[in-house]
Amino acid sequence: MITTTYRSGSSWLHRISAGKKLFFLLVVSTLLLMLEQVNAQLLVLLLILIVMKTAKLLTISFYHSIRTFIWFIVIVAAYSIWVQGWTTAIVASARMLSLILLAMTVSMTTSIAALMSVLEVVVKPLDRLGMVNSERIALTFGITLRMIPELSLQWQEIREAQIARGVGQNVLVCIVPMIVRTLKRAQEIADAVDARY
Amino acid sequence: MLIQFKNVTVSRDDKTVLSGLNFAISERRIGILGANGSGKSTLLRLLNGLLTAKTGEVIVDGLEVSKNLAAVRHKVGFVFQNPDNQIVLPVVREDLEFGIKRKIPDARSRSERILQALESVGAADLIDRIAHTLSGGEKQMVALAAVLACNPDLLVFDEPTTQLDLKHRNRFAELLRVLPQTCLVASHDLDLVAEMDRVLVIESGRIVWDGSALAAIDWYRNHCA
Repeated sequence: MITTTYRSGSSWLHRISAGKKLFFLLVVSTLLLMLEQVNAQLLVLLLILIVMKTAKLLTISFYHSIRTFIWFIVIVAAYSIWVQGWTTAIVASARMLSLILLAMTVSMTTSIAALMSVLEVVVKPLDRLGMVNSERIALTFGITLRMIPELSLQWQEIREAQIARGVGQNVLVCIVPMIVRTLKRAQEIADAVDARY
Repeated sequence: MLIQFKNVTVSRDDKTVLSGLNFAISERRIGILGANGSGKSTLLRLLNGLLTAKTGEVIVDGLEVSKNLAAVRHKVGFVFQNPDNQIVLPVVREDLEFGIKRKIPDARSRSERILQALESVGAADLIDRIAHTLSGGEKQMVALAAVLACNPDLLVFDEPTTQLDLKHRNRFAELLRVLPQTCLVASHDLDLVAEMDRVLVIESGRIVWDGSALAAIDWYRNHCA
């Protein structure tokens, strides 16, 4: 389930500002896409692993959270070996793994509130031009992340209720109650935000 | 704190939800009883301007709600029935921070206030937990802490114990006894309402009983029998 991966802590990576981490992520990701040498890709991957190790991010729970990605990379690598050969397969796999690890490193050490603040700063120029409301965009981002697991749970409840009524696995009969409940919920969340903001 | 309803009428989709309410309350603990759809939640929502009256005035601590929305919301904290809809950010600390960010610009003071609020409801250990992994009772405590962090003078609770197990319900009742703020509680939990200083019973948008908790509960029980 998609949700926040942030783990509170006081490592040196936690202490770096969210803006710097996101900028670094952007720069390194761009470089990774440009690098075609096997040695260079493997070196970057090794450096990322060292960085993660020093920030104590390489835990069992971390492995569990990325194992789906690892299977995906294995499948892509197998296909690449078959179609384009070993070298391309290693470069593509190392690049993908590095990108995933980098993104995970940033999201595990950066709180949603910090990401919201960066987003607010990034869209501020558009706010000044009167095109958007930066505060609202940042809040929408935060609420979206908060609500994904809740809506997933809601979908599951509706599906189980329909199965219990003998409707079976028909997705269509779940859509109407899902939309109705989601709209009602959206109104309640808006009220809660109004009441506290 | 004085709360006044002066000839308040609320209509929705051509249906009158509250009709000509006239009362003033200054007690510390006020209970609201009534069947589902009687207008309890509507009455509570008028107190911090989530709804506005078609006619009449709602006055909280000398401020007419519709004309002083920001000031009134600063004074009135609202705890909703479903904490899932009240906790708007993924991590407990972030959610509490959200409500006070504008009021307390200094990050260190904010952190202190957050911890203080969580400690006051006995939930300091939840500070770094992810909201959707909390139990219903824990979520309700976090929702209450989020409201307390804003330091309101009046706390409004809309059916606060509906989703709680007995342990958390008792913990909530205990908290309600010690909170220094004025509290207005709409609930079907008669044991909780029995501890209030004054109880209003609403039926079809009108106050049909206004008095001491025990007398109101007796009347309500007989009326519903």
